[in-house]
Amino acid sequence: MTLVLRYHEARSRALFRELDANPSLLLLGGAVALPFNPDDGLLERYADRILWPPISEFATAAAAIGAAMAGLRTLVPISTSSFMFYGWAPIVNEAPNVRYLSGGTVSAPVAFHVMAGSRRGGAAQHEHTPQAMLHNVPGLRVLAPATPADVDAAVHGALTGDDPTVIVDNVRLAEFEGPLGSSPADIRLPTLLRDGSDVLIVSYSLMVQQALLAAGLLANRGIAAAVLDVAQLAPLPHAELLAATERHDTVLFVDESRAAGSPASHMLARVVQARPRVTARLLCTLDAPAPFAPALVDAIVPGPAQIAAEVRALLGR
Amino acid sequence: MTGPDRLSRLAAMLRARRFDETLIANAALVTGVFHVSIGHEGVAAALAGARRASDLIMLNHRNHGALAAIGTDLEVCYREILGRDGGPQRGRAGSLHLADAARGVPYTSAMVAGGVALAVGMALAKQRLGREGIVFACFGDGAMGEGAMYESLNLAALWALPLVFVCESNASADRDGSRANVLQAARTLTGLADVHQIPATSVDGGDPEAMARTMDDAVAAVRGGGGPRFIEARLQPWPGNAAFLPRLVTGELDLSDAERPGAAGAWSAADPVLAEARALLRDGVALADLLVLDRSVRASVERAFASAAGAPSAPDSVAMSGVWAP
Repeated sequence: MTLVLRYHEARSRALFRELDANPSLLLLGGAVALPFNPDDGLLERYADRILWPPISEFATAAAAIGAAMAGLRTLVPISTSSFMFYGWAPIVNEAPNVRYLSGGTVSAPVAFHVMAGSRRGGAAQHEHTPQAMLHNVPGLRVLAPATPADVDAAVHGALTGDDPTVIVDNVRLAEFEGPLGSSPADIRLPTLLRDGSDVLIVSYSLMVQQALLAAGLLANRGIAAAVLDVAQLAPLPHAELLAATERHDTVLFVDESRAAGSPASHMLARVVQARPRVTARLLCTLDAPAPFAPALVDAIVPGPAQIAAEVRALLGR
Repeated sequence: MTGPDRLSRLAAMLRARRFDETLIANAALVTGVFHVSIGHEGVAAALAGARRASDLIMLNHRNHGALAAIGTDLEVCYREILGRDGGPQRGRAGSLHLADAARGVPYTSAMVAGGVALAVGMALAKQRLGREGIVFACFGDGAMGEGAMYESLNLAALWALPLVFVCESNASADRDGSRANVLQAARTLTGLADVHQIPATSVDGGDPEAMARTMDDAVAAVRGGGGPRFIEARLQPWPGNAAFLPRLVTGELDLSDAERPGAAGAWSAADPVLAEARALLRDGVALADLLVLDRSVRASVERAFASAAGAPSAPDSVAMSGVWAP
């Protein structure tokens, strides 16, 4: 029987499983879900596995990296992604360099978890999309799950893999339901979540769920849209992405990041370079800081209606 | 300390000094930036004397002296600094990131104060995993200007981590003495450790014996489970340091100067290697014996350089290897 869970339930279940599997795994802070999503009991159940640092993102991030080099694996729940900017230097300029600079003799298997994107009401300083910066750092693995199965795989991959990893999460994924396999999936492989012959929508994280809703809207108009979920943004699985897109001549790439340097723009470039005849389009958040008012957020962040409209414009239907 | 121990300490310091002098003399062969440890040899020797095999050491961009003192293969260091193949880093690291995992230096961050915060995590791992050994975080006074430094002091103290903060302070002293140095509002650097409840000692880093005693005391306290300690090693800034490439403005070290008080100016009076040689002469060791030791160290350093300079570059494929886990 297939297990169906909500996204936040799958996230907690995966985290509990990894904490049970690795008795030395330590959390530096406990805000994986809180304050935005239901906690599911992490704080009580694993109180002795959580070391609460002061509000010191630089030293906390760096300590996690140093600990990883010395054999202690940690997960650092950073909560709102912009708090990561205080710890940016160690995350982008220490962790990803450890293996390279040591000639492969040392690694820094450490995991960071952030809540990125528009959560509504956070405004300009609390609704960033740092994945567009993070995926440009060689040596830093960036995972952006969209489904319960994805987050299950992402937590497993981040807490058992050998590369420093950032899980770019999104508060608004919490209630989406989905099936889980008996063991974590391979996070590296893109997943076709819906098939359709007219157009392929490629995305990650919350925009995958928005694309699925858009595909439903399009179906009402007789347009068959497929949706491809690419949960590992870096290193981007090039060959698998090309294989998963090769059946479609019309592809829309959707990203909650601003367009410049976004993961979706990179995917688009890879696909178009390999298949110059493909008709490709990019739909991203517009180039403004996140506004506060919900109506203004909707004016710049793609939702199902904008994605559906972009597909119709692309197909001329 | 006994005569033979002091001689081995002088040997470690000479290894560090001759390594840097030889490098400066051949700077034209280096395609990038490097920083030397001239004037820091007393700290390097104290570190080498206090460390155990189970310890971890976080160095910084000025790392040559400490590596030479703890016994890292100097030819491997030269190969890396010259961008040649041979060591594990194979030209990907250069002088800034020299490391020696086998001697407790797994990785070297060249970002000011960046390595200090990493060392906090290494000490956390030692503590949580119940592993043997302590961690040394070596940094310059410049790191005391970074916020990362204060976050690190706070975490180390809050969590009572087995960590020795070693500040190699080579800043120009503030003229009127009301501040620690011209870039620091605090009166003393040790005061900045004090406010975090970290016992701190200031020592003349140009006096290798005093430096070693201070280091040994701090290390004993940390090994005993007393939480972190902070050492400020006050160093005379060596005048050859420069923003890009150092210049040997003081000339090569001549150990005979140890017998000629005041012969070679202000730097000679502050030079920790000469200070160590003078102490040995006072203990009755003959200058001729020191010169024999120096010649032997020098010959091995020069052999290491010549061999490294003849080594090939790594193949292009190395540039793309080690980015991701295999």
